[in-house]
Parts: sequence; C-alpha cells; structure tokens
Amino acid sequence: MSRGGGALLRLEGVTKSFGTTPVLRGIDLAIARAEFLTLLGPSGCGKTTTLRLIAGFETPDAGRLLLEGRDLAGLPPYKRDVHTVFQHYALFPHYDIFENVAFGLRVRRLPQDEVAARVREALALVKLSGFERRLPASLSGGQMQRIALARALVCRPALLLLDEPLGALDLKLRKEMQLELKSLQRKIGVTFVYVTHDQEEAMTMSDRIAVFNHGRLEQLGSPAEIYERPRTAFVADFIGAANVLTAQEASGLFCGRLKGEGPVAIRPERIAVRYHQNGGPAEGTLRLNARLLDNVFLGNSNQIFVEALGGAGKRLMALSMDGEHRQPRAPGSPLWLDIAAKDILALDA
Amino acid sequence: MSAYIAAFYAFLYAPLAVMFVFSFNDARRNVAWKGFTLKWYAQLWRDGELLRSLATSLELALVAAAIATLLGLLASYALARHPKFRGRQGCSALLSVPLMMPEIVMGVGLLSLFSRARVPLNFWTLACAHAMIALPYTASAIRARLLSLKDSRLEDAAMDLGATEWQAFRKITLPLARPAIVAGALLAFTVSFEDFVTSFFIAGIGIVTLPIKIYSMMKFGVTPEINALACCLLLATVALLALRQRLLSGAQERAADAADRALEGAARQAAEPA
Repeated sequence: MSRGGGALLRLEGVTKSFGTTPVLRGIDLAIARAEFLTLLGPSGCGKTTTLRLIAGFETPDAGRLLLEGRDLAGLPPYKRDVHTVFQHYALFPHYDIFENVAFGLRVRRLPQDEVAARVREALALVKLSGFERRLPASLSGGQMQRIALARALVCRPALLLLDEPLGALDLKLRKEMQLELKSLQRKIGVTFVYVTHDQEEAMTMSDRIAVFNHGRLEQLGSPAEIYERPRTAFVADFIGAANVLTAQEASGLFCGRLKGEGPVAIRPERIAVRYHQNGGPAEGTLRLNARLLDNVFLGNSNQIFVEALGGAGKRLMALSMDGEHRQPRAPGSPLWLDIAAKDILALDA
Repeated sequence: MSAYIAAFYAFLYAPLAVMFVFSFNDARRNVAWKGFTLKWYAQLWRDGELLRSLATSLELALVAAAIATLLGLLASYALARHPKFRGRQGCSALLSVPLMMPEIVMGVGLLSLFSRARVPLNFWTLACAHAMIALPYTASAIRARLLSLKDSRLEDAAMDLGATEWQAFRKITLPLARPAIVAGALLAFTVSFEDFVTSFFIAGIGIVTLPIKIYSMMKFGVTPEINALACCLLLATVALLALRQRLLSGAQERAADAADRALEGAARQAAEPA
C-alpha cells in the first residue's frame, strides 16, 4: 500500500549527521495517505531526527523529502502542510485554551467566525469542550496532550507528526490514550507519523511500523509482519521477546536439522515444554533435550527458563499459558522442547 | 544569634538611617540634633540647578535604558536563537566581561575613543556611553529568559503551526520575555541614573548629571540638603525595586512559571521509566 504514486510522503536516501556523528544513514520510506505509521526504535536511533526533518526543523545532508510529490527542500516549517504534537505539548502559557487552539488559524488570518467554529469543533473532537477560557497551566497532562492534538488538527494538515506524545503520561492513561488516538485517527483520516520507543504502543496503534536502529531502517511492515517475520536479530529482540541464536548456536543446537545456516529467532510462546517424551515429536516439529533452570509464575502464564543440552549452555525462555506448569518442579529436572520448524525464524546474517 | 542579626542589619543600614534622620535636622551642620524640620526638602525644590541636573539625569537614563534594552534584546535573541554560528561561546563570554571591568577603565577608554574619533562630547555621546555600560545587564537578563523559553520549544511549535519567524517572535517570545525585558530596562535605567565615573570623564561642558551635581555640592561638606536629596533618591529606588518585583511576579510570569513547572514535571516523568 506504500508503493506507487499514492504515497503522501516519500523519503529518498535521506542522510543526516550532527557534527561527525551520523544520525541517519540513508532512509528510504514511503508513507501512504491516511496511514498510521510508527517510527519505532531505541533512543538515539534517528526516529526523532526523521520527524524533525519532515517538520522542517532540520535539513537533510543528502536525499529528498517529497510531500505529495513536491520537494520540501528549502521550505521553512511554517510553509509545510505538516503539524507536530510535541513531546511536552509546548502549549503557549500566556494564551488560554481557545487562543492556543486558534493559533494556527489566527496566523493564517481566517475570519473570526470561522476560527470560532473550527476551534469549537476541534475541542469537541478531543472531548474538551468548555475548556476555552482555562489557561494551559491549569490542565492535567492528559488534557494538555489533547489540546496539543486539537491545536495541530484544527489546521487540517495533510500529515500529523507526533513525537512521543504519551511519554509523559502515567501507564494507565497512556493505554487509554493509545486506543483513543487510534480511533481518532481512523475517524478523521489524517495521516499520522508517530514516534515512540515503546514497542507495545507501536503494536497497539500502528498500521505499519518502521523499526529504526543506529540511523538505519531495519524493517518496515505491519505489526503482525514485524512480529511474525522479523528480518534481523535487532527487530526480533526489540519487538516482543525472542530467543535469538547466532548461526553457530543454531547449528550446534539443531545439529543440521535446519534448512538455512544463518542466525534464527524463536518466540518464547512457540516453544512447547514437555515433561515426558510421549513417543516422538509431531510431524514438522523439532525436539530438543533440556533441563529446567527456573519457572516464573506471571499470573496468566509461566515463564520457563531452560538450558538446552548440547547447546553449550544456551539459555532459552519459553512462555506457556498451560496450567500444567503451575506445579513446582526442582531446577535441573529433565524436559523436552518441541518447536515447529516454521517457528524457527531465519534472520539476516 | 538575634544580636548578631541586629548587628548585621545595623552595619548594613546605619549610613542610610543617619542620612535619613539628619535630613530632618534643623541645623546647618550634621553634628547634633537641633529639632525636626522639612525646610531642606523645601529648599531642594527651589534649587534650579539641582532640578536641572535631575532632569538631565532622568532624560539620560531614559535614552540609555531604551538603547540598552533594544540592543540587549537583539543581541540576546541572536545568541539564544542561533546556537550554531561560529564563536557563539566567545560572544556570550564577551557579553559579560564589561560587568567586571572597573568603570574607570571604561571611562578612560571611552574618553580616548571619543577624542580620537573627534566626536564632540554632548548629551548623545554620554547617553551612548551609559547605554554601553548598561548593555551587559539588559542582555544577560533577557538572554536567561530567552534560553529558558527556547528549551520549552514554544517558538518551534508556533512556526510548526504556520507562524513566520516574526509572528512567532511577536506572539510568543516577546510577550513571554516581557517581564525580563522590563526588568532589564529598569536595571539599565538605574545603572545610568547613578553613574558617576563615566559621566565625570566624558560629560561635555554644560552637561551636569545629578551625581556630578551632588559631588560638586559635597565640596562644601555634607549639607542637610544633600541628605534630603539622597533620601528622595532612596525612596525612588525602593519604589523602582518594588515595581520590578511586581512585574516579575506579574500574571504573565506566573503563568509562564506554571508552564515551566509543568514542563519540568513532564520531563521528570519521562525520565523515570527510562
């Protein structure tokens, strides 16, 4: 859905360094219309710089940014049809809520009645009607966040950039706002480019996720694609939990029973832990001998740490919701791990 | 402990108290208390030369404060807004060096500059000199405020929403920096008003500022008129200080402070899980 001429924003070979530190090392990315795209990665991976490049606060060293086919080079932030929700909201403390939301309309010199109507509409959209005459300082973090959103959306941008907008909220509120943001985005159909380091947040909201690491785009795909077919060890490890085995560990553990020769990843919930041999493994399933190291009860599931025999002491983690694992067993107990061949995910070397 | 504090404040304020008391003393000499009178204050009002020097000083301080505030605002805006230009660090340091400079050095320097450049010494040269002395005060006061505003990314937000740099400056930066600008202007006014050394060096013939006038009056000893005059200045200074305090704790500043606190809180929260 990102290919072809339908892309709203296109990044082509974008690089950026601060001093001698490369921050982006050639980013190619196409963002589709009405898409919710998340730039995900650890701090310092270049995701916020990408956002600032799109907004116009930074200029790329090389490469192009095309918004609706038009090169953004040389356009200052105020000439781009792109608005940002900043991490700490950046509400104007000396204006009341009405004037904060009206700001973008006022600088465009829209007539007063249109300003009033659109501000009312935007406040209703974020469910803060009646807050017009309050000052930003009197709002809670969640309310400030909504006002920042209303202030950006009231100008009807082609593209909305969100820079970790939920980072300052507590966990419970963050979860609520995630779902609210997603449904709001669906309702108004504006393209969102969302930056976060929280993989769960990215999974919850995004149509597609772009995983960044060390200034490179590691993988781009839907949450399911990223989770089920991670391309690199970094992606497998960063999105959800994974047992990542180097090429050497994999060949040692599976003794040539694998097709490929590179590193692999195995999701913990894809490892079935058995305490009895019960004949052989099922068709298409590989079996490993192992012994128990630790078993952690998590409420709805058990996290089982094991050491595979013949794997040079490689520790693996399995996750099971099976009640069988609730009963305590002595560390060192022998057990067997069944892993379907299709769940052993081949990674790029 | 309380005795120590009493002694401390006595040390700090004794000269002012003596001056205050003797300005009401009904005697020509400041030696003994002869009774209460307001005649020295009345006499001040009839002293034409003194009033002229007061007017000169006020005009001078107004002009100097205006120049120093405008230049200080522009300089600190440039220093705060554009972090990348070469030599910014040096520029910031050079901004505050004149604060430490003995004023007599500045006086000599200005005098030789003006005489070398054959600039006639008049009211405007003196006003420029005063503005120059006051400039580091205004620039550093305004710069501190602008830097804290820059951290909150409000100008970025304004430009992101479609405001040009000028609109962002006028609608966001200027109103939020106004308390610091006014405080800087008041400081510049005071610096100019009380300046003696520089004025003494480069005041042309015929320009008598109030401090110079007082100095010439003192040649005949400390008279009660001088005490009375000093008391008036003292009251004006206190009034100015109170005004500055009011401005700094004004509504806008309170709102800005609250926003600063909110930002700090948000930053702390953001830092915690990491």
